[in-house]
Amino acid sequence: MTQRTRSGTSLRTRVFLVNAFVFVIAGTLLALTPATISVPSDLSETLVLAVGLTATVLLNLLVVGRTFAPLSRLIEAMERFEPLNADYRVPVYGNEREIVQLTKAFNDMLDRIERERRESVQRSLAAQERERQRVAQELHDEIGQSLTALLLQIEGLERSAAGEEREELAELRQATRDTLNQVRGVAQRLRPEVLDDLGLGKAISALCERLGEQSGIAIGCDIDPELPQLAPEAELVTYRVAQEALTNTLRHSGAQRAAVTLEHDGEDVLLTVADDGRGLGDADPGAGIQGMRERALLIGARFRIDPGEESGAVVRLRVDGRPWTARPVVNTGTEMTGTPPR
Amino acid sequence: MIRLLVVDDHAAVRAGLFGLLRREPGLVPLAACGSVGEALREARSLEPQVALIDFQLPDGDGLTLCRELKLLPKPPRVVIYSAFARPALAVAATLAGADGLVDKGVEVDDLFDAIRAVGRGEQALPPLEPEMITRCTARLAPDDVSVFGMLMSGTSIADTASVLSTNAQQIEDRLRGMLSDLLADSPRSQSAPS
Repeated sequence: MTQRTRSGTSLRTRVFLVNAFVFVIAGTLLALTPATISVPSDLSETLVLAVGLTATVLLNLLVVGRTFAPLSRLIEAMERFEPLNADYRVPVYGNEREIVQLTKAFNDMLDRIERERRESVQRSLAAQERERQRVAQELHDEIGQSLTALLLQIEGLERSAAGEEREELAELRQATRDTLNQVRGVAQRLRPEVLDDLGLGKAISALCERLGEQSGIAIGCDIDPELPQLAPEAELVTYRVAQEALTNTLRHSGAQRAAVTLEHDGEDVLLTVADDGRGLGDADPGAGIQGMRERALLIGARFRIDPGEESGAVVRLRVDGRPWTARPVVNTGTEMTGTPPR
Repeated sequence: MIRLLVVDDHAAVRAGLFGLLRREPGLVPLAACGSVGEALREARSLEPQVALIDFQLPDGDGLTLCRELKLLPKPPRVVIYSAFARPALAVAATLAGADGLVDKGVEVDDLFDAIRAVGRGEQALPPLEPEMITRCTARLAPDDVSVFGMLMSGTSIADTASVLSTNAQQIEDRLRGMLSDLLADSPRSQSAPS
């Protein structure tokens, strides 16, 4: 608020001027008309006095009210703010100095809160990723290795056994192999190394393939081969949103089909996950949806979840592929929820 | 007959593998070791034809061991046998000069086939997708990219050194640096993005 910008007169001056104006008019009327007041005043005098005073007060109310109107609009705009729309800033109404300053102070506060929120989400997401990585590592190195050892030993026994025993050992070996594959699957889900090594497109198609195989649900996967290169955090968020959306579909929606598309619109990358399940009707907007929203916010992406055209739900994520520095500063209050990704 | 050295840090895996290999005709496991140090000692004295090496070892990793083994007077051929599922491991193993890479999830007969192929002088490395090589290249220091390209296309360390008019030791050092760059953890989980 060091900046005393091109704001107009202050509210105090305005109210003062308005009052002075009204008083001067009333005083002038009093001086210029032949009206006099006797003591004690008679009825007609009292009536004139009452009308005059009422008119003065109403005039004052009207003019002062107009002066304060921008303040009410500002309050309304502030009330419209919702924390999930991080880009929203209150527009400046009017040019009274206090209102301009108040708006600016409010927007500055939003900036600070947004910055702190973003930092804390970043820290907690990084901690979450580290923890996932540690669990994946342990699953892989300890349980995975033990199962591998078991598998090799069963294999050894099987080779020296005969007849029925051999068949039983083969079954045992198969069961052990399935368990090993499950453990490796869990470890892989926790730590998407595929993302580092193969990139977002390949990682998401591998995800669709794996989840499709596991669940028996047909998961269509349409990946644009010409995607712009996203920052590593943006890739991770996009991958995690696809993973979470598909997991929700498989667990809760009772869907028979799901479709994932990853395409680009100029510099933006669009992820769409649609299914034909029960949709959002009775689902509570649980931690899954909140988690996707938080992750999207973190990278300044737009996240939406809508009912599908006929049934089911559609999750959409629009990620800005430009680096932070190349983006315009959004500072209007006209658009509340951003462009719905199409 | 293929003489083998088995290297794995997990005792039960080592034992199971050793037992299976001993039963398999044509394959002769000579010793089973649990660390890089032990493996190098055994390889020097036993001179195996093929070393079957796990990726994760207590005192280093399988690819570093692969490099050390390749510098021996009679270098064994190397098969990396790993549960480490990262796709980039295929690129790193190729760069490290391994002759084969087998996932611990495959059937044992496939492992034996790979060992026999490598023993015959063939390679048992998975195909490398161009996209994967591109992503891996992005993880390297810009100076290293030309060395990476030459080594990946099969140029020997000595030839690479003479083309870049430097010595083999320097190329070897850069190769090892690249191996750790290729398999480094993603920066994502290391620090908060800015």
